[in-house]
Amino acid sequence: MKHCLTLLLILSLTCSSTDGSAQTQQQEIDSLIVLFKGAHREWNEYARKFILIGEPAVPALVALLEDKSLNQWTRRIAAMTLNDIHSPSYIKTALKVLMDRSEDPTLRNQVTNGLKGHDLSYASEELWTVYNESSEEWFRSNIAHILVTSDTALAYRAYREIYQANDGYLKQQSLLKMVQLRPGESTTWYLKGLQTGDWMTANLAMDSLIATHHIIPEKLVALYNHSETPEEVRWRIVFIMGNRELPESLPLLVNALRDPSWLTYNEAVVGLSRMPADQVLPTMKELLNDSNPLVVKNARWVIKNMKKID
Amino acid sequence: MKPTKTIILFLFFTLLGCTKDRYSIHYQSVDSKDIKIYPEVISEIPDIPSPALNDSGREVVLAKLQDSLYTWFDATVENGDTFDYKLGLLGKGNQLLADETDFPAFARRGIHSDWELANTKTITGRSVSLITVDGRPGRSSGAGFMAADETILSVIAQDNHTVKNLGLTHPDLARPLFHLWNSARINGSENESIPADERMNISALVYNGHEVAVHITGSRGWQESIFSDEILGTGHIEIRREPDNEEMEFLKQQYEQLTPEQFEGMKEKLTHLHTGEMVLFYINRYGFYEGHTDFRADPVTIAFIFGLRSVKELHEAANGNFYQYFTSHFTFNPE
Repeated sequence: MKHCLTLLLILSLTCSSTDGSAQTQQQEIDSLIVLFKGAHREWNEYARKFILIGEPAVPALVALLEDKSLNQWTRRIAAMTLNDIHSPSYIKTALKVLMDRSEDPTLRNQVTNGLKGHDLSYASEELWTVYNESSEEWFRSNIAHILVTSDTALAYRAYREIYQANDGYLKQQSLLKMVQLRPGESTTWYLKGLQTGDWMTANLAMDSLIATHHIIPEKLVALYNHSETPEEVRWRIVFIMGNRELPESLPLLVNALRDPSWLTYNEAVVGLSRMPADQVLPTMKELLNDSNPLVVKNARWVIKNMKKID
Repeated sequence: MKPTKTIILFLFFTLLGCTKDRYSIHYQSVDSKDIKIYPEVISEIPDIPSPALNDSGREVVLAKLQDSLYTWFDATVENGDTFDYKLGLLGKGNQLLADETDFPAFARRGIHSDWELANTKTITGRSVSLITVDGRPGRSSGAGFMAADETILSVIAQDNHTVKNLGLTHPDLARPLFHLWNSARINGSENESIPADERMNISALVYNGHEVAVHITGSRGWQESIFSDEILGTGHIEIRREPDNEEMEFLKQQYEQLTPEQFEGMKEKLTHLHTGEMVLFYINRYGFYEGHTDFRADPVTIAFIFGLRSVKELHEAANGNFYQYFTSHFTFNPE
């Protein structure tokens, strides 16, 4: 009997202390909501506190986001804070805002960040419709990102379109997503990326082809040898081959010593100097008798710098 | 003394001389008592050379503040604390560091050897091709570090040729810019605690008898370097010096064949500089002034503005044709 009483006492104390702490937290949320409604540039300070509270703050923030009588700024900062908390209980409201064509376009775009990474396969058709309705490329890219975990086929299709229509960051990110979605197609996409005029995308393709296991060197060699391949693409291929130890690297780099482009033959020289000396030296020594003085000079440079490495 | 000993001693002193001083210009020493260091101010330009060395061998420059008061700054070019926008560290950085690994002769003498440039394939471990591609407009920087038809080596080599013709070294040309930068650093950090409307910003430097108008502004974010180094940039440095009557007369005589627009364009290139702080470090470390971009700090322009050489000497170093010099890109690669 005594034990039962003690247990009851402990339980009741625990419950009251939990209630007390929940009450305190709710009070903190309520006062933060008041501050949030009047917040300007200092909103981030309050947002950080909400993020620390996490899940318990979601209902109050969702209520702010849903309240159309509030100004757009307050609803936007509520959405941004909810995006960071990234709770599944925010999905329903975020989707509602996204699908509501009468909502502020900035707010619709903002809620997409809270939906990324969640399985929304049940809403993929609606998401696809929203994607197709818009001509704003950043918004389309955000919808495509949501589709990655909702419908991979649609996501791939979306990224393919975005890749073709854009340059810079969006193109680069589309390439990255497409090869994540279809690793088997990575070499094909990286080769395309290599040939684009967009520096960010071409750099990503170049770095990826240095690192990937899926490389098909014959395709790179064929592209290098193609008469219409521009200077910078030839340089990129030489850069890749000079940073990989492939059987095709040595002949391609030696060939590139005769490339008319300053970029390309200098890259070949650097690439050759990094390769194992026993493979490269015999060819370089032969090239010392070449009729082209620049080839001779560069072969000499490779020999000299390999000796340094040895 | 035996000939071998003489040769050894000769080589020793030559090497000592080379390693000790990368500057060809040396400043006059002045009495520290006469130098009113910032925040002390004076109302008239004193009859003291600027730049100069004080009693402790520190480099001091006279600056004009916005409200026509003058002050001296200890603007010594030296290696200081870390300078890294990413970490919020705003020390002096490595102002004296030269790239000894890639350019040993340059690191010793302050000027590149033609042979060394002709045999350069990498800088800071990056291939010259990669640096060139990254440095073109619209790549790692919108403005670019060189024009689309230039390469890192064509630019370094051509500027090296010009600087050599002027009888100067690259550190000679980096130093006035560092003097400005270092003065502005001191001025800026002192200003932090002063209300905006009471601040006294530097409006000009008094340099080799000329008043050089300056304007430094910041920007958001930062620019990464094209070399594998710690150099970052975020600021805009604008410098201008109007030619005096004699200089103007010389220009008019030499370039009477130019149209008024061409003449004004040429004069603007000679008398005005817009660059960023990265270039200061680039000049001293690699002898790189940037190619023909909006941020190029042309060595001829630096030498004119800061009075390092006369307009006639500069005209000769520019192959007797400023107009062509300023409008032509550097496309010849050293091989």
